[in-house]
Amino acid sequence: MSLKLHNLQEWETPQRQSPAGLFILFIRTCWEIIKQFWIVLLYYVLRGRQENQPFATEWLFWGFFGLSIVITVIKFWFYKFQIKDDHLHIHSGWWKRKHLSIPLASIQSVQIEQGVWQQLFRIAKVSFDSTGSESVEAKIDALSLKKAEALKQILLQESEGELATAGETISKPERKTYRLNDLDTLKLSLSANHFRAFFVLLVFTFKFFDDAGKMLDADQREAMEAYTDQAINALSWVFFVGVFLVVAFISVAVSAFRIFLEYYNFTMTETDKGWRVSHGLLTQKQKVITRSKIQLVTYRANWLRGLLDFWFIDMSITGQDKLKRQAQINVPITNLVDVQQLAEQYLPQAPVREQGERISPAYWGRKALFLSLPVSLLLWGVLYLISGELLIALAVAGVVLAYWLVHLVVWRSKFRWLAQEEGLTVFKGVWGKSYTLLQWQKIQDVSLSQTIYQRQKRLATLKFSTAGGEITLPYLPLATAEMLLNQTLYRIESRQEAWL
Amino acid sequence: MQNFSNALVVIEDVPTIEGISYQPLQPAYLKIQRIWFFILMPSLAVALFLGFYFIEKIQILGVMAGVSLAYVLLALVYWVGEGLSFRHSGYAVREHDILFRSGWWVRSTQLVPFNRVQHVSIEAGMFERRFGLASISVYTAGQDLTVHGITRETAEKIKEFVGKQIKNKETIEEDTTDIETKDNTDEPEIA
Repeated sequence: MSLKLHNLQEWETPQRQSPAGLFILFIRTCWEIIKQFWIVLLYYVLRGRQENQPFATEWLFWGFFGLSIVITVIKFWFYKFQIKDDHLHIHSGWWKRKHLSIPLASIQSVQIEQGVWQQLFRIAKVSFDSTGSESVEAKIDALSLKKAEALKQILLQESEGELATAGETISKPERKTYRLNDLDTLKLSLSANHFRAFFVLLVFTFKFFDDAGKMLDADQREAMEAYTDQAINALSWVFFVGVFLVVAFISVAVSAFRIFLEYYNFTMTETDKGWRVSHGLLTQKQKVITRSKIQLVTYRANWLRGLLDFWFIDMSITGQDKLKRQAQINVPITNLVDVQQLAEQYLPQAPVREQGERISPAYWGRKALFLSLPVSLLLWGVLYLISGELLIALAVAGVVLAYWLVHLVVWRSKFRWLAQEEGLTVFKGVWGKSYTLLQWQKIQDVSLSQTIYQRQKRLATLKFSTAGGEITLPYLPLATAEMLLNQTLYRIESRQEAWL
Repeated sequence: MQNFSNALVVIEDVPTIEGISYQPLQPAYLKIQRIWFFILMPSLAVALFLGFYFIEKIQILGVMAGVSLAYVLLALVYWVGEGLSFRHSGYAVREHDILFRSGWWVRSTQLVPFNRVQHVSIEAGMFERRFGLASISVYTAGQDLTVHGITRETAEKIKEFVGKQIKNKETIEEDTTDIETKDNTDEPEIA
């Protein structure tokens, strides 16, 4: 692929955003004002029309409308950007002037995003990821799609130290492309863990019935409760199973639909420095992943996806400044071979099955004694106080404890870690599978801790921190933990390997 | 598992963290911890007393006795724990990294290599200033490390030393790609 670069001079003069973005700016401004004054607005709307102030609500509406328009125009007029002296300059504000200046060399990636409104007006939001903390605010909300693409190319070329001059052609070799077709996206949507959506909806449903009851007056409520009691007595299991199934169906449908929209037309193309990712139906997102910025890589599959050989690779990415938002990019991949190929670009010999050392069996026993048991006892007490039913509370707490114990035992027996020349791999899983890879040079600091019990049994817990997350190896034999720690430190300190 | 053999590098004399002599914290630091004890625990007692006085629902003898017992136990664990933790805590500055060990129930040792340090800062609270103490924090892109209970002079020395080491690392990185040799046996004189 080759691309013709735009003339830098074109960007040297300060320019405003696309006028087509005024509407989006207006919507955003309205939302900002609503967020600031929502209590006042709610009060006036709920109060309704008063005798002595017949037009208060209307005036409020028009005032709000006018204020939004004025702020939108001011924001639009005073927001200018330019590329000058190897910096991207963004000027904004009227009352409080702000000048943001980002060195082009520090720009790590450029993202183009298009929501529904942006697609309608054929504009895009451009945001930048640089090594400084200020980049959080660095974004241009509305640019024509063509201009956004051109700006992205210029910024990326400049950040790579390749000066873009008019008419210059740069060949950009692109390698493998991972793509999800519609069927894959559907599989991805349906195989997700929908439990969270299900429980949220279940709670919402019961809350709705509860609130509906409260809105009725005393007589109506009594009548409804009597009717409900009758209905429950007559058809109790049918009623509950019915509600359960309806809630389950709706939650799976909504949750799957959300994932389908998010990952629709997912494409990941390999480039010189990393990958370019784009996906989304309503909100189309484009991201650039710079390989050197990846701190940790995890590939995982839940039970169902494990059967379908459908995986997610999570890449923890960060800039140099820890205050900056850490990003995690989740990449769906349709088979383990591709997963391994991708992961091996971060760490050679990425595992595809459990291998390595286990942790001490004492792990699950101690967790059960000091975490599962006290929490279950507390749950029993709380449930008993709420319901007054001793046996039911005991049964629920018992089921929770039993599941927790099984979970701990299985988790411990499956956990594996393996230290290799280039890095560490950890396997975890109870129902599903998860492999985490860590390059040694990404480690920022190490800590070794021991409880009283661990000291008696000569065990230790080792924790490696990176700029993108942590890896903990619990209940290792002390000698092993110390040896691993010493070797890791030697590796980090004796070599000047870049972590970013 | 004891015959762990996934060696990262085949070098026999990799420096070890076992047997490092840690510098103890200043005794005045324990005094500050005790002052905080005498501020926090009576404050908690007053809050509990007011709670029992104004909320009639919890004016039950059993609840009051339970809470009082928990309060006494908490005070005891707090007092003893602080003392034991102080005895165990210490820091060590080596040529390439800084270590801080702390804790009583869970004893932990945290290590930060200098080539991961982004910046260093010294802080001193009201009581620390009164006793001529300070804390030094070493910031990385991962977890930060803070050494409490050292004198202001020591903190300044550590800060200067860490700054020098970071500069050295940067110079080495720029000058050569050779692997640096390392000897952790000589600790710099900071105490």
